[in-house]
Amino acid sequence: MKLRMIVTCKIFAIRAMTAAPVLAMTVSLLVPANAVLAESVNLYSARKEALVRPLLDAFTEATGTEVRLVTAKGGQLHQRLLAEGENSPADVLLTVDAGNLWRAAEAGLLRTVSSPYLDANVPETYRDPDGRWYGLSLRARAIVYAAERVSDTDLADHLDGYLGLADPVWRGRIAVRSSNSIYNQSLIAAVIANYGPEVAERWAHGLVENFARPPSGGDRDQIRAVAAGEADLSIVNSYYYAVLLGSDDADWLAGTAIYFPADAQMGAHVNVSGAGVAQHAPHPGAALELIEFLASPEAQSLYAELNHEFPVHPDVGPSGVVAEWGSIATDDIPVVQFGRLNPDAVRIADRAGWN
Amino acid sequence: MTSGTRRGLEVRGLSVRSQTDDRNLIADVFLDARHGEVLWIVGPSGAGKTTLLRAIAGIEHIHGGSIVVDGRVLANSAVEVPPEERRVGMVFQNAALFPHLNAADNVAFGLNGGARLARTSRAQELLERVELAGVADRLPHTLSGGEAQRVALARALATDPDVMLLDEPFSGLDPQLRTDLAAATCRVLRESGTVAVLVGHNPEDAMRFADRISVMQGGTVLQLGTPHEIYAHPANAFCAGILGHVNRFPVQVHRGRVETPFGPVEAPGLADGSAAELLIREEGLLLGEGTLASVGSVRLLGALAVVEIRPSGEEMIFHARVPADAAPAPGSEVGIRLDPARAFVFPVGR
Amino acid sequence: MRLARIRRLGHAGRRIRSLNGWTWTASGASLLLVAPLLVVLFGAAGPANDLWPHLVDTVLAGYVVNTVGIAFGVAAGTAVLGVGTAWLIAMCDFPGRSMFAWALILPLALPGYVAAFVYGDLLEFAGPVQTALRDGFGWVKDDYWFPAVRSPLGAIAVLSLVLYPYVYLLVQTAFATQSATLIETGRLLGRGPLTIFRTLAIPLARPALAAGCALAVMETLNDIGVAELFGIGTFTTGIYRAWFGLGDVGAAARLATVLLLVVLAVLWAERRLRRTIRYHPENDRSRPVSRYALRGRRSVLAIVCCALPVGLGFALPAAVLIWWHVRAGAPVDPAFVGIVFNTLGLALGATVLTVGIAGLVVFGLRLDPAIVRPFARTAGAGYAIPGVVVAVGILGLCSLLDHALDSASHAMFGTGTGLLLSGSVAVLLFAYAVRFLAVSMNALESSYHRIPGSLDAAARTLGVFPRGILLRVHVPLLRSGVATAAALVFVEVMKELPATLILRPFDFNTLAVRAFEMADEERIADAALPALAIVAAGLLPLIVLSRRFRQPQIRAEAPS
Repeated sequence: MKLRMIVTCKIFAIRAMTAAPVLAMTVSLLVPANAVLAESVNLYSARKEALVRPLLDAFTEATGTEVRLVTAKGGQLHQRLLAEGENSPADVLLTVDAGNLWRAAEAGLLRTVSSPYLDANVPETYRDPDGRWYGLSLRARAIVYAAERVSDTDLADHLDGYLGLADPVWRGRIAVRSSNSIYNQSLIAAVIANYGPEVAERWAHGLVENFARPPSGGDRDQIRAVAAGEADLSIVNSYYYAVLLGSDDADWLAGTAIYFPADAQMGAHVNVSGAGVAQHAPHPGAALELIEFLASPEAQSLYAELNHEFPVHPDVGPSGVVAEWGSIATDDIPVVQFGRLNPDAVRIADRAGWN
Repeated sequence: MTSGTRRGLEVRGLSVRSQTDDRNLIADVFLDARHGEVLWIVGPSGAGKTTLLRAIAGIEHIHGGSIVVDGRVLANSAVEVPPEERRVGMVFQNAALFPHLNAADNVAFGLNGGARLARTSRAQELLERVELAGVADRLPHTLSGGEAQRVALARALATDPDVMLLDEPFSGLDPQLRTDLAAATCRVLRESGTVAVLVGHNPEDAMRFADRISVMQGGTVLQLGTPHEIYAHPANAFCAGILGHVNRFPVQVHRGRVETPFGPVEAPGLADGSAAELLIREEGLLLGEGTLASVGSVRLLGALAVVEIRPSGEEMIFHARVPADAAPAPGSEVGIRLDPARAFVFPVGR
Repeated sequence: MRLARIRRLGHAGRRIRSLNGWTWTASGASLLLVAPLLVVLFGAAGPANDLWPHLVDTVLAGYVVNTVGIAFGVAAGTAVLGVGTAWLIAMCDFPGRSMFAWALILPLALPGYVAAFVYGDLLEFAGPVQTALRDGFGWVKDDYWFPAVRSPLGAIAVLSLVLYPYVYLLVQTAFATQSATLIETGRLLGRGPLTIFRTLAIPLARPALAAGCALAVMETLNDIGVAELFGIGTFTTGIYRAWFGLGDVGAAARLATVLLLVVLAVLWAERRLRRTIRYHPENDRSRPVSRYALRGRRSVLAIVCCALPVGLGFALPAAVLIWWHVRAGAPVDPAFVGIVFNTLGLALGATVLTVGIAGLVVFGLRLDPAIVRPFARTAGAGYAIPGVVVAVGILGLCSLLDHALDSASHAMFGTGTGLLLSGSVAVLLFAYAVRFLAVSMNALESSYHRIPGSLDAAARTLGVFPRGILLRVHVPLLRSGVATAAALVFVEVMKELPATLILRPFDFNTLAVRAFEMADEERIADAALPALAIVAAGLLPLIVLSRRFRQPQIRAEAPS
């Protein structure tokens, strides 16, 4: 009997010994989520770390406030915010398109802020009318074309506005990525906003007819297709082209050029990357401070230099490469429309067979 | 710990059903076995021998009946003690040694509590009991089949079980080794004072080493008795045939007896004119004065020879087992006499 | 004392045997792992949205065709590559055989999305291969035909190349451990190698083949990276798009439900294929099979057949990544070391947790199959569910728990706990367990099948049950199965992307996240280094895994 007792005690001791580290580990696993430092601001960013960290570092340097970062796709961050609800640690949601900001605002995930600074420096077209989010940089959807095979007159005659992309003259000559890309969805939304759904529907069908190949890859791949001769036109965000031009081996881009379509109705399509303060932000003050910093001239020129996006701040100019393209007539539809019309845009893409 | 009544193993009306279909694997089995006794279960494959052992061990769920050891209910309609609490040891057909443990650790596996040293010395002691003191450090795959079985026996004995079950422990061994191992095993089992129930194929071993034999067929026990009882007074044709070789013929009963070329055999209680089966043990046909028969082939088995004989004027061929040195020459004529104690008549359809 | 025990058993004896704590724990653990999937599925019951009919009208048929087509294609591709190489390694002798025996596993270290990225870049119209062809022959577009890499066929090829090791691993083991007697009987009956392969080896290895193909198909079904990069609409990309693009949880959950049905069908088919043959080669004393010695042309052919999958599935993409990295000459990010440690720590933790849970479930399955099996089978489905669906399910589950904890804490202590679980590493580990339980369970189960039931019975009659059986019999005998399970889970976690992306804590990066972000930003040179690190970190466990083949295994059966 005694022996059995000893054995039992031994087993308990062993259990306790194994339990202690497990417990300690569990606690340490849980801590990082819960430790909310007073002098920090928590950012959910759809902008990749490499493209947002330099801005955040500048903010920390300027204000002393640390920024803790989680990056993921806009829709995923949306779901995370939804699930976390009122306990969410997020202070700021930063996305790379207006659609996701609009949807977050609709879902009640963003709060209205009043910031005279933002109202003064972010043009009305590029922000939420209710002050729930603000655009911080502009991304234009442009045409990169093969200059040898597409003459200026071709462009003038058949591609004054985006509607020209459906012109049969481009049959089998256009490269574009999948309509899963939010950039294409917001382009379709902009066409709907400008010309109405019927025109947009016909246009999307005509555009799909003109594809040089089934949509695949990213924007850089579309530019490569033009440079290699697989397609003559590609629909891409302008900063990709600018980044490529600025890279060391830009020789292969020699035969290409960039073009911003614009007709009487619709200028160059521009989406925004932007941010808003989370509804349940634990540090709303610091959150707003961060957004205001991102709209400041200092951060705005970082946007321009880092990734060749167009600054949203009227007083800050684009990067050198982009400046060479000259002034651009941009579409004046408020970007908030892209979110509202996004479901319609996706349906049009589906019906047109734009995969 | 156990109460004073050492009544051994009592199995009453036990039945086990197949889990896949509702077939009875064994049905209405009665069995008892006492301490210090070796009960040997014989029967063809599929007779339910292994199922019976597994039910006693608790590895198989029972469907009806009861299993009681020394007055302690192991299983009945209300109770089913799990195997680890039954104090029932089992040796499996393939020894089932834990392949990652050496012989001594295998033996010590079931020993709980106490100092490691005490367990080791107990294991060593058990290995000595099965005459395997030298293999303590060896892993199972380096042991011979016989050694593995003895280690398994020592392992099962280590926990001092009330009942020991051995499932065909000697199958797959060569005959000499098998006999030696059976002798050694039964000696160890009797010494240990446990109730031993052993399943085996070989009837000669059973007769030689068992205290009692249980004959199973088709999921039921046909006869339970000492080897002599079953040999001399088989309950039916099947029991008669299982302990040794027999000549069997269909016959008809006439006035309480059956006619054979070697004279009549009594068939008490059988109706006149009814169909019956005659069984004559091969060793029941003796050379000497009697019916004349011609000798066919003669096969030597060692001390004995099997002689093919055809009584004159008959078509039937008989086999007789005779001492080898008295065996007749092929083609010769001999006289054959019948030992009535080794001839049996059973009604057909039993 | 004994009397009391008996009386207690008298009331509950029958139940005590089957419904003990272990089976409940195993069932409970399985249930916990299914919970996130259930959270998602409940979304399907939500209010009908008009997006669903739109999907049915426009893209659903395409999703079905693509998904089913790619799944079948990958099953066939991995079967051909896996079985072919497994036969060569197990049954033939040729120069380099022992090297190929482990090298053939290496493609498992390469994430599918990285392979797709590399091949998409190499083989597209503007890629170096087609450019060289055009320059060499003076062709222009439409002068020649070249298979489109960014197509369903391209996806099948890429996925087959990185997933065939699952089939290879399992089938090779099956070939190597199958009864030499059977094969030799076939040879003595005058059958040539091809006939033996077709009539003996394949039928005997069918359970392993089914298991391997099922793993490959499940991984294919949950793939998002390859389909996205190649612009192919599948159920998984459809779920992604409906949910994250359109915010329509109902439509996404419906798509997920259809996908889940497909998964269950795959699992059912696998079980059927496994069940057809019940042959346990370990029951006879198997020796190593004597191999066919290949000479001359045949040995060259064998070398080529083994070198191609390794080269295309591993060496070439790895070389391209190295080349990209070197060409860019970018300095290594100082944060990179931290990311490597994060990833390794995460993979290690997830491996321990996942294999632990799998061990528990498989043990429960062994103790009481009838009760645990349904739970265990559904818990394994997490492997085929897109990581992002799992992740969102877990987000939902955690927030439920967190809110409950928070309000309980408010009620009791007047202060909330906030989000204790959400955004913690613990949740990330849980997500990996949900995703990769099937992988580790498969490995453990096939290892378990080699432990004869008589050992359990022997242990029970010796009074040892059930913890003793687990710790003293199963664990020591399952070592190789545990090693396999651990290696596979480790590699999978290293590669996992979507769940990591959504669930990770603040300022927490992994190699896969870094590689993805760089690749998505189309900075391939910066993506190359983390991708290479994933491959390199995956190599170690895979090499450990391959060592298994060279070590003689402890036979689970004593000689008879």
